[in-house]
Amino acid sequence: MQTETITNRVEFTEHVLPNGLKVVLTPDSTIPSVAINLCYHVGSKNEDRNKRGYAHLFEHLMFEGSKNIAAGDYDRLSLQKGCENNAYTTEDKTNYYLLAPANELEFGLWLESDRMIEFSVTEESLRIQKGVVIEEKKQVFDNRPYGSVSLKLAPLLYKNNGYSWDTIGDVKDLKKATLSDIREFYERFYVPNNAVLTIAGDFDPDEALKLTEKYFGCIPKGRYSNTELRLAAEFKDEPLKNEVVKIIHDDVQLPGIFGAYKLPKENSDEYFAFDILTDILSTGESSRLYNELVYKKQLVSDIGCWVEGREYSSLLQFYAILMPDVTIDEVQHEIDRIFGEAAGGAVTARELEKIKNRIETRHAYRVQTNLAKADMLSHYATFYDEPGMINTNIEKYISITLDDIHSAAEKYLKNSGRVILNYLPKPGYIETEAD
Amino acid sequence: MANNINAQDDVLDRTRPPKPGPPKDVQFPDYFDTTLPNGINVLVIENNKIPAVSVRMVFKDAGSFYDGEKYGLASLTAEMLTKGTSKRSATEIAEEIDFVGGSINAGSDWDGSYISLSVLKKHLNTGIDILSDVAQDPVFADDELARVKEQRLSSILQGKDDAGHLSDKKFNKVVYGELPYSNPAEGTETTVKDIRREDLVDFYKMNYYSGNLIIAFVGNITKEEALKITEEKFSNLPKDGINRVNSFKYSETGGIKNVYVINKPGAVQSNLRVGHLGIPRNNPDYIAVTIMNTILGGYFGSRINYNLREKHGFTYGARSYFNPHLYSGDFSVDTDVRNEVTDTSITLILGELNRMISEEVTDEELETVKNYMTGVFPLQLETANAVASRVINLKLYNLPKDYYSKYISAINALTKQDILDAAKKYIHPENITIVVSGDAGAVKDKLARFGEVLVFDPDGNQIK
Repeated sequence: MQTETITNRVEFTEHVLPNGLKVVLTPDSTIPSVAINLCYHVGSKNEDRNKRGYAHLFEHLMFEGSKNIAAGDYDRLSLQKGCENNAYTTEDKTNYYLLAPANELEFGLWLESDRMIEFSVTEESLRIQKGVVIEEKKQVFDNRPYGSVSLKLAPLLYKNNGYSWDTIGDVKDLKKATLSDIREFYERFYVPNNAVLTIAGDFDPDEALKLTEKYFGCIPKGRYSNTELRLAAEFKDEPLKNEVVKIIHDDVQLPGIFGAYKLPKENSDEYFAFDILTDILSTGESSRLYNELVYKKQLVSDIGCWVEGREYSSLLQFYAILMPDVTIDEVQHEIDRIFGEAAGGAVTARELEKIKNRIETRHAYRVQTNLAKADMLSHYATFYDEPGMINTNIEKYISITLDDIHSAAEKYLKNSGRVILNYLPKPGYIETEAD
Repeated sequence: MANNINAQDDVLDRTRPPKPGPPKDVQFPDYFDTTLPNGINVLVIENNKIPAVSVRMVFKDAGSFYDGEKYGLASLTAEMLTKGTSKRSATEIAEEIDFVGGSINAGSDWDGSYISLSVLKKHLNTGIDILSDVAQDPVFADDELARVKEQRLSSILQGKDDAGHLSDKKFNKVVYGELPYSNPAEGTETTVKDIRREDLVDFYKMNYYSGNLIIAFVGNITKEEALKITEEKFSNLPKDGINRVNSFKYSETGGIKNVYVINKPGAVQSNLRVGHLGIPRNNPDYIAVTIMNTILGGYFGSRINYNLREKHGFTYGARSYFNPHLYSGDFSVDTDVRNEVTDTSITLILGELNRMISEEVTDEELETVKNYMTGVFPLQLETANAVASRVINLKLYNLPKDYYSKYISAINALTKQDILDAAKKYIHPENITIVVSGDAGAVKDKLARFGEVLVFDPDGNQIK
């Protein structure tokens, strides 16, 4: 019945404006709304070592005024027009989006293009947004149990490249940021030839393309060539030689283990194999880590592992929160045993089939919202110049064999290639008896 | 300095926003709604965008509200549904549903207990088999309960590390007073340890029956398929609950004007709750209150967020909420601010509450919020599951069937006077409770001007 007529394909068209801006259009009239997604190919790894956190601070500043839009007006106008907006920064990209009523597409393009023309941030805005970002760091990292994991892991995993600090950056560096630092960053990276614009939703593609040309077409290319832009992020990395284990004392009731192995970059063959392997290990209650350590042995209350795909070097991250009176050694031993079995070829054909079924479900659900589609299309266009990967990646997953998983795990899941943090309660932290 | 614009731009006026096109109508999607003779309310929200189906079973008015003195009972009962039936062990349930790439989750909140299935259409039969089994024939085995209880105790322990969680617990306890909403829905160490298999069985018999059951079929499924499945697979529950009593005490407290500090030595921020009792979900003023609160602190462009974040840089964000339940609700302003400005932030928040009840909002504020709510409304209808959540809420909270079709016009009819009336009626700065999770040593002294300061440890014991 109808099942057969439902296609999971995302239909889209691709265009490149003369100034280098890549444009992806994917119409969908489910609701009278459009998602306008702008992805700049710059993240925290592109920062100088003494300017850590500037890419993310910059994301905040992009809402503080541009050529024709006064400070505060980006948000004021977008709310007035019935839009939702936000942005996020990763190691590799800075992504902005606006969800607008369908009849405000032109408004959205006007608003977004203006901050690609010229930004006009004042000293006052810079001072306030530094304060906001510093409070963000406290709220998300410093004042949260186990919140410092990514801050501590990054410099232990990487040395001489931009992955050696977390995107949130460093408070000392943030405090000394000047408007001229910020302007330099803007002029280098916030240029049409370093960006992808995806529009998803209820619009006419010809009209949307015309409007895009109208508002973005006349913005000149940046003064750095594409090669120079990417050279700025040239990636050098040495594999880890020895296992690193650090003890962190934190305001926590229960000890926790947080670790990471370095893996090949996102969308490499190994990346797909590890994405499947980590699902086998920890997705669902029938997964190996959950079934053995949460359910059968009751050593941990929570456990997981996943692959974090990145442009130049991915990570396999894992964590476990211990049950009371269980030791770190006991749990680490079990995790190593389970990882070791996986690397040793113990994964079964049924487990592989299970995860492929899971991936098929995930693939179906990926097309549910305009924003999700726009985000994925922008991502694949930015890093691989191939938005069609939104449709074709599933084939990569389906083609992964038990041998692929076995050989990838054998090669990369080595103790010498990992960093582990052991979180322990601060002495004196647990001072009260339970009621 | 700027990315210079070429001559072409002379003809393009970028100084003001372009005019909108003609607005497009937003219709709340049609859905099928019927009640069977056994009392089951079947909803079908058909949407064939993706080849998947969700089935959401909702037991109305059957949540933590009925925990009695056994805090945590509703949530443990729900969690145990997927931990074994007469036909399947916990492991078999997990293995079977995981194998087809689906998921089954059970849980509860104050106002209901829930079991939901999500699965590709081609695996629907497998999913339905398991769902109907766990919903109608759970065995609540002792060894499984022991496991789930240990997990719960560990998570209660972890909750003591989380400033926001500690604030919520204390705030609810003070503000709701005698109402069941004042108790921790996850339970306490004592109550969880004491809960036994018989308690779960009793709770299940009392609260899981077809007379209070909604089954919503969502996605790639027709009403004929849905009705057939309901009749064939979900007719084993009794029509009524056993020993069902509503032990709700309707006396609401007057609120106590104290400052409650939960001490977290070394904390680098103060987590704040500033508020009092609010309104139940079906209060007829709910939409006016929502719009009023949106202007006050409900969205990024609100007064409170602007003042604390955009004007002062004290916080990453600040919001206010009317958090409604079936029988009551609460109102609170929530934020995390740096230690040194804890008292200043409270003063600013109280200032905004007072301004809200003493003067009309501006034309621009009201117009902006109306446009915003109208503009984002379609986003709340984008997925079949989002639509289903709204339809289920109509049922859970006894709202009129045309609530969502009249929602936008109800918002647009509100005047500045309506907003002021709602503020005066539902915001009471003179009756405010303040909760601070943070470093008492660093913030306590400056809080005395807001009321008597009482300091507690994360276990809830008062520190002298």
